[in-house]
Amino acid sequence: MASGEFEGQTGVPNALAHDLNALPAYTQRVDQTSASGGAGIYAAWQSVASGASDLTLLVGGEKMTHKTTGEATDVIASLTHPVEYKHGVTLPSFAGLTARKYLDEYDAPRESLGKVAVKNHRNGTDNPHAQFRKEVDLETVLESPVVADPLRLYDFCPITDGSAGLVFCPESVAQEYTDDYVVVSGVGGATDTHVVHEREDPTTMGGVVESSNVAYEMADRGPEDVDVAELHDMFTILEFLQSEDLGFFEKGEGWKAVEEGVTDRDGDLPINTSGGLKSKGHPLGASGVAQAYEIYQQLLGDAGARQVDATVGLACNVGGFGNCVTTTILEQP
Amino acid sequence: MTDDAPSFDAHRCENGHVTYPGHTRCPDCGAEQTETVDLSDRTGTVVTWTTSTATPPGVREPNHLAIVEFTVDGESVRALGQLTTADGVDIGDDVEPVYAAELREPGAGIREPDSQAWDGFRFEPA
Amino acid sequence: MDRVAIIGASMTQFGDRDAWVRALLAEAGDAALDDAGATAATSTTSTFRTWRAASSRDRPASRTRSLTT
Repeated sequence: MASGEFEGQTGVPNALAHDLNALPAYTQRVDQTSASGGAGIYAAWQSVASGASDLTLLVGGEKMTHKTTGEATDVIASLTHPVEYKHGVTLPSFAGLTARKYLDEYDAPRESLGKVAVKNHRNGTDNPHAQFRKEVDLETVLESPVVADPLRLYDFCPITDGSAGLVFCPESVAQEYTDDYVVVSGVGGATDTHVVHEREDPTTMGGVVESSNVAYEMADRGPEDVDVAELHDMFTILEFLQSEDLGFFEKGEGWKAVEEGVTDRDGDLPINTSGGLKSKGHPLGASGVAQAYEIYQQLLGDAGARQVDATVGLACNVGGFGNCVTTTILEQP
Repeated sequence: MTDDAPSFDAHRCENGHVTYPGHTRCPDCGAEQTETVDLSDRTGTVVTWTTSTATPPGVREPNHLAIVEFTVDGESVRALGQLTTADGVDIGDDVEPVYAAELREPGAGIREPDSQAWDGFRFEPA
Repeated sequence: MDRVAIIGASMTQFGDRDAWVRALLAEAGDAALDDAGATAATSTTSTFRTWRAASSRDRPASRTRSLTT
């Protein structure tokens, strides 16, 4: 997470352990910008898989709404290279640059991006923890103010406060705690170029491809096995890129899946049943943890009105503009 | 241009790979980057562009930005930079670098002013 | 290899919250442990043993260095 930068409070893992009566448990903070939650899953998985811990608590959280949008955007943009930062580049502007290239390259209509927002807002209405629980129609999205041409206000996630937690242990002792648990069958992390314009194909997120390859191999699964997925839709265009780079759809065809309803809650591969970052909100460090929370609920049959039929779920958490990515595969035991 | 004119330096390794900015090791082959190539007198092509209307502290609003591709001895190298104007700009158009002494106000944002340069090159439609 | 399980999960209300980051983390952490049926204080695992039981005074004298003065 980036809490030190937003609030001037660092050393938060220490505070948390003390507040939860968890002393002297070892604590650490994981910083991978927007992917800190997913990176935390990776670290928590490592701690248990290595035998170093037999019970690990992961908590992600962020307090952001006290900052203006400009200030919060600047804190996030501080992850960029100096040659990018000096031009006033922001993560939303990377999204605008990428969206224009994607629409041009694959002949995708602007409306298809809007349909991601419409779908995720619709899903979010059934998530009691979501920041926005309001449907939006396509016209509202397409007529909202331009933020980073061709993307408009409703193509972006909001600025959000919030937190989420996960508890990990070896599967062999899970039933000592509960009968309702899921298994981390695959987890992978990868890094792409720090400088975004140095990527050979601006419409591919290499970190998504690489991290998912690792996760699929560990889980002995492939994209066709995934029943439900939470993707990092910080911007609508990112849902297209990830759905392709995770291998769900051919490159350049992610937009068609949204058009055809494949990724709707009642579609063949529901994506962002939680409402995604788009409607749920995006407290940086919490988002990757909350993605896994949604998959956990789906696999346990606890997702209420959002419930879909799923035994294998995937969460993809993206930091920077794809600079660092984790992919996690969760399954019923 | 005179010898004192600011240069727009891309970095090249012994195997001819060119990057902007430079890196400790060439991202393509891992060799050291041993020379610079000035892009300031060259013409580049717009890969993609955007106009940002929600800019951070100290940044002009609206902020037109483009990713531009140059070709150096058959190797392509890209740079991101502000556009002087977005009027009529489209993917595939030619642009030329134009020096600006201050691209955004140092110290207005979160980054330490002395930690980096604030001058650089904007792109102007050719 | 023993696989890793997730035995508890939580998510707090997302949005415009009055709480600051320490309180937000504690809220989610407490709820996740509660969902797992584990508490930090009563767990007997090595990670979450009760810290007040540990003290340097409990360390056997045979394991400390003797000083001359």
